[in-house]
Amino acid sequence: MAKYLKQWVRAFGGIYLTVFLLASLFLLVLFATFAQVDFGIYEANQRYFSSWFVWMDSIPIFLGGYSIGLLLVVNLILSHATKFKFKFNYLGIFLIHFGLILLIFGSGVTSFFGQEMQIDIKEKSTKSYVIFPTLFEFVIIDQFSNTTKDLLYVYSIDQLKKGVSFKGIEIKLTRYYENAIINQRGIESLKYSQLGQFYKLISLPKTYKMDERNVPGFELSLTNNSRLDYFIFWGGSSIYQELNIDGQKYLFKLRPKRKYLPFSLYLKDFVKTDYQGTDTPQQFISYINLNTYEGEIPYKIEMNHPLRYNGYTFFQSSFTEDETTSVFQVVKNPSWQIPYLSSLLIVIGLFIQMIISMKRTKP
Amino acid sequence: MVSSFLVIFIFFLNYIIVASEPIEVPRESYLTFQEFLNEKSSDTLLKSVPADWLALTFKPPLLGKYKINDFTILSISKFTGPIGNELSNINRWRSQINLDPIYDLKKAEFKKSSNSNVVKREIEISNGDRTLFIFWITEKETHFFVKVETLKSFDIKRVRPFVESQSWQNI
Amino acid sequence: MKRILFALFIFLFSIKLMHIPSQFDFSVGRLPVLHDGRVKPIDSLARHELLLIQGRLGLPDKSSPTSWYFNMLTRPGYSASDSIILVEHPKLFDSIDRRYLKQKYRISEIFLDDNLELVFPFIQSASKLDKEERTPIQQASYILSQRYSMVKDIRQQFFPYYDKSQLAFWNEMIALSQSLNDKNPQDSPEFIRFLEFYDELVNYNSTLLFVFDDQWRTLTETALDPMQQQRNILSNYLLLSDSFQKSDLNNVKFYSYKLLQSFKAFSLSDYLIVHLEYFFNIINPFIVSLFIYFLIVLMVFFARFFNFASFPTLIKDAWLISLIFHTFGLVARSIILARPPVINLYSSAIFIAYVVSLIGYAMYAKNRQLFYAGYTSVLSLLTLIVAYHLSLSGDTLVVMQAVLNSNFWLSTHVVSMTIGYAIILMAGFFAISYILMGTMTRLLTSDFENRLSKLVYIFLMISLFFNFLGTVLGGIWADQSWGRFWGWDPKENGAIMIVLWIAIILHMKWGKLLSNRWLMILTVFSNIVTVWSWKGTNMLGIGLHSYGFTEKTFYWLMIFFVTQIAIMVLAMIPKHLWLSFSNNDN
Repeated sequence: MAKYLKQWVRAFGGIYLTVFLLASLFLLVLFATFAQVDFGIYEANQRYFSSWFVWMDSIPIFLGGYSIGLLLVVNLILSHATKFKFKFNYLGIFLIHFGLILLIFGSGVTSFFGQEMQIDIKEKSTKSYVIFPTLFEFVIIDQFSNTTKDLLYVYSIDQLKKGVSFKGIEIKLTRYYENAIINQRGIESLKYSQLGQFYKLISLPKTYKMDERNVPGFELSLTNNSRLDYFIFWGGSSIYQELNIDGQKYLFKLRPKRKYLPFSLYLKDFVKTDYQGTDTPQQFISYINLNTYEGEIPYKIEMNHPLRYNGYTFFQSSFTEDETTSVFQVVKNPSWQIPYLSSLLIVIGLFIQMIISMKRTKP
Repeated sequence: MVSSFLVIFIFFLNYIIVASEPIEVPRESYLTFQEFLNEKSSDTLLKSVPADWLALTFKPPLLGKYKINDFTILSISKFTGPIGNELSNINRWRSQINLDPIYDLKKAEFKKSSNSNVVKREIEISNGDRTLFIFWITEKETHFFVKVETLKSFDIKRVRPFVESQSWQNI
Repeated sequence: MKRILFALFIFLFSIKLMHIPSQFDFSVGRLPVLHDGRVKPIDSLARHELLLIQGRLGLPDKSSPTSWYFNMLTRPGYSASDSIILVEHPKLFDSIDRRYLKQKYRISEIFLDDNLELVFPFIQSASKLDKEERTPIQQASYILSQRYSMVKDIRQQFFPYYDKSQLAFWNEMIALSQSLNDKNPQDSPEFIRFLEFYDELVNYNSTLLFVFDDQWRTLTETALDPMQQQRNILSNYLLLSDSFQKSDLNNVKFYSYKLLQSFKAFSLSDYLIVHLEYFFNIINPFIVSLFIYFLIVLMVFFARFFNFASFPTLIKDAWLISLIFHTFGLVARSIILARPPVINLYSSAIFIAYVVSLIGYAMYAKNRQLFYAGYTSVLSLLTLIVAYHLSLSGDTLVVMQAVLNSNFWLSTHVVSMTIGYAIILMAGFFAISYILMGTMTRLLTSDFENRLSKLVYIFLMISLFFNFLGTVLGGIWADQSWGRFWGWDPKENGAIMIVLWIAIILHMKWGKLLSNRWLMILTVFSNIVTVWSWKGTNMLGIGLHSYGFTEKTFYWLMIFFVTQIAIMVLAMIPKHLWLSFSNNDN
C-alpha cells in the first residue's frame, strides 16, 4: 500500500507531469486566443479558463483552466514535499513555486467569488445599487405594503422556467429568447395584456461581439383562479408593468440583475478633457459623494485612480455621449491583494534564481 | 490539497443558495406602463404614425425616425433660429446625395404654400439612385424638416397625410 | 590615424543619411503648429502627411517634405499633376490604362479629380462597414479616398486666395471694409463684394492651428475675429506666404524669425521642444544607426574571412557611434513627448534594437568575439528595419488615450516587457546561429557549442525574469485601471505564453529531458511565440490592446514563422549529417 502511494506521489510530483501541464496550459491559452476572435473575450474565457474541461458539443476535448490549475497545485506541492531541503540555492525555486501556488489559489478564489458589476450615475443624482450587465432577473415589487421601503421579490430565469407561484398566482414562462429586441406591433394584439398588446418580441441570434450584449425577452402566462393572462417582458425596456392581485397592486419587470449596496453614490460632476484640437480624451474625472452611515465622503474617481470602499472598487469606465452620465465598472474581489503578494514572491524568487544561474554558468 | 477541496465545495455552494423571501430596498419611482401610455399619447408626433412604420432609435435634433419599408427611411428634425435660405438648404441636401450645388432656385423641384403664420415647402431631390423628399414647415422662428430618403421609387402621397395631420405648433 | 580616418568616414556617411535642410526649409520648417493634440514643427507634420499620402518621403521632383507642404499651403494648384497619391490595388483604374494594373503605384490629384468617381461605389460600401469586414478592393478605395481628401484638405489649411495670392486676398478685404465706412453699405457693390470675400473666408475649411501670441487658432479664425487682436501676427503669416511664393529668401527668413520670436516669448519650453523635434528630424538618428549596423555586419564579414587586423577595434568605434545616435533618438523622443521611451509598437521595436545592441556591445567590449558583433548587429539591423516599416504608417509620436495616460506604469510595465522581448529574441537568434553554423558550416566546435548553450540558458533565465516582471506590472496596471488583475485578453495571453514557453524549456532542461540540440530547437520556437505576442496578437482585432489589422504585416509575420519552422526542421536532421559534427568523425 505504502509502495503504491509512494509511486503515485512520485508520478504526481514528477517533472513529466509539470512539463505536460505547462504545455497543456500553453496550448489552452493559444486555443483560447483564437476562440476569442469568434466568441468574444468573455464567452471564450468562460469556455476555456473558467471550466474544468473544454467541451465540443458534449465531449470533453481538452483540460480546462480549473483542472490544469488544480493539477499544477498538486504537482507543485508533491514535488516540494518529496524534494524539500534547507539550502540557499533552493530558496529561489521555493519562492517561485510557493508564489505560484498562492497565485493559482488566488485566481481560483477570484473566479468563484469575484463579481464584476457596473453602475451608471447621472450628474446630480444618487444611486444605491449596481447591476450585472450580462445577468437578468425577474422582479415583482410591492410599493404599498410598507410606507418607506419597497418590497422586492426576485426570481431567476431558471426558476421561472420551472414555474413559480406568487400570492396564489401561477407564473409560467411560455417562450424565452436569449437575445431579442422589442418592436411596435402593426395591429394591436388582444391575446396579451399591457406591453404585449402594442409591442412584440423579435428573436435575434446570440451575439459574441465585444461591444454588444445579449438582452433576453420572454412571454409569461399568469393563471389566477382559471383566469389566464399573457404578458411579454424585455430586459432592455424601462417600463414596469402592473399586476393586480385581490385589489393589491404590484409592479413586475425583467431587468439587469441588481445588487443593492449598503451605501449610495451621488455624482456631483463629470469632467472630460481632450487634448487641445482633437477628440482624443486626455482625462475623465468623476466627482462623487459617498453617502454612508458615517456621513458623506467626497471622492474623485479618475482613470487609474479607482475608489475602494467596503470591499467594492469603482473604476471610471466610460460616459454617455452628452457627458452627463458617468459609467463605472464595479468589482468585488475578496482576494485582490493575493496576486500582488504572490507576484512579489515570484519576482524575488526569479531574481535570486537568475543571479544564481548567472554565477554558476559562466560562458 | 485542502484549498482545492475548498474551491470545489464553494463551487457547488453557488448552486444551492437562492433568494425566496422579499428584500427591503430603498423606495424608487418606476415608470409604470400606464404612465408610459399617457406620455406616449401626449406626444402628437407618435399619434398618427401608420401602423406599418417601424420606429427606429434616434438622437436630438431628431424628433423621430421611422422605417417605412426596406428602402425608405423617414426622419423628423426641429431647428430654431436662422438656418440659412432656401438655396443653401437645398444645396445642403444635394451634397448629402453627392450632387453639385445649384445657384438658381428655379432649377429645384420645389412647391411652396403658406397660410397665416405657417410656411410649408415640399422639395424633391434625386440623383438616380437615391431620392430625398423634404417637407419643410416653418412656424415663425421654428423649422421642422420631415425628410424621406428612399432608394426605390416611392409614392410620397403615402407620407402626406402624416405630415398634414400634425399640429406643428404643439411640438 | 586609421581610427581618425574611419571616424571621418562614418561622419560623412552619416551626413549623407541625414535630412540637411535648405535655407527655405530651415526657416519655415520650424514654425510650430498644433496638430493631433501636440505642438510640433511644420516639418514633422509635412513628413507625416506625406507618408500617409504617398507611403514614402521622397517626392518625384526631389523636393523636401517641408517645401512640398508649405507650397501646398500657399501656392494654388501646386503639385496637382505630380503622381504622389498612393494606390494599393491593381483593379481600381486598370480600365483607364493597362499600366495601372499594378499592386502599388502613385497617381496625381488631377487624375483623381477626373476619375475618382470610378471607385465611388466601393468607397460608399466601404464606409458602411467596419475595417475588418471590408474586401481588399473596398479597403483600398476607402484609403485612397482618404488620401485624396487629405491632399484637398492641406490646400485649405492656410488662407484663401485672391488673384493667386493669399496676401492680396487679405489686403483686398481690408481695403473693401475701409471703403464701406463713408458710403451706404447695405446694397453697394463694395458691400456685396465684401460679403463674397467674407463668405469665402467662412467657408474655408482650415483646421490647422497656428500660434498667435498665447492662443492656437487657424488663420481664417483669426481673420474673422471681430476684435482683430492678432492682426499683426496674421499679417506676418501672410507676408511669409507671399515672400515664399516669390522665393524671396531674405523676407522668408525675416518673417519666420518674427513668428518664431513671438512663439518663444509665449512659451520657451514649447519653443525648445519644437526645435529638438526639428533637429531630431534632421539627424534621422534611427536610420543612421541602422546603416551603421549594416556597416558593422560587413566589417565583421571582412574581418572574419579576410583577416583585417584593425577591424575589431574599428567595429567597436562604429558601434559606439551608432549607440550614440540610437541613444540620442530615444532620449529626444522621450523628451518631446514627456513619456517613457516605449509607447507603441514602433517605439518598442526601436527599444528592442537598443537593448540588443547595448547587451551585445557590452559582450563584445569584454572579449572581442567577432561572433557577438556580427550576431548582435544583424539582430539590431533587422529590428530597426521592422521599426522603419512601422514608421511608414504616419506619426509615431502620438498622444496617449486616457486609459494609457500613466507614466509610471508605462515606464515600468512596457519597458520591462520590451527588455524581456529583446533578450528572448537574442536567445532565439543564438539558437538560430547554433543551428545554421552547425548544419551548414564546420565552425561549430564543441567548445563553442557549450558556450552557446550556456548563453542561451542564461538569456532564457534573464528573459523569464523580465517577462514575468513586465506581465505582473501589467497586471497591477490593469487592476488599477479596470479592476481586474488578469483578464485573459489576447495581449495578456501572448505575454503569459512567452513565460510558459520559457518555463517549459527550463523545466525540461532541469529535468535533463533536453540535449543541446533540442534546447536550441525549442528556443528557436520561442522566437515565434515572442513575435506572436509582440505583434501577432494585435492583428486579431479584439481586446483592449488591439491596434488594428494590417494585411501586409500579416504576410511578413507568416514569412517569419515559416523561416523559423524551416530552421527548426533543419535542426532535426540527424546529428551526424551536420557539417560541423561530420567533421569531427573524420
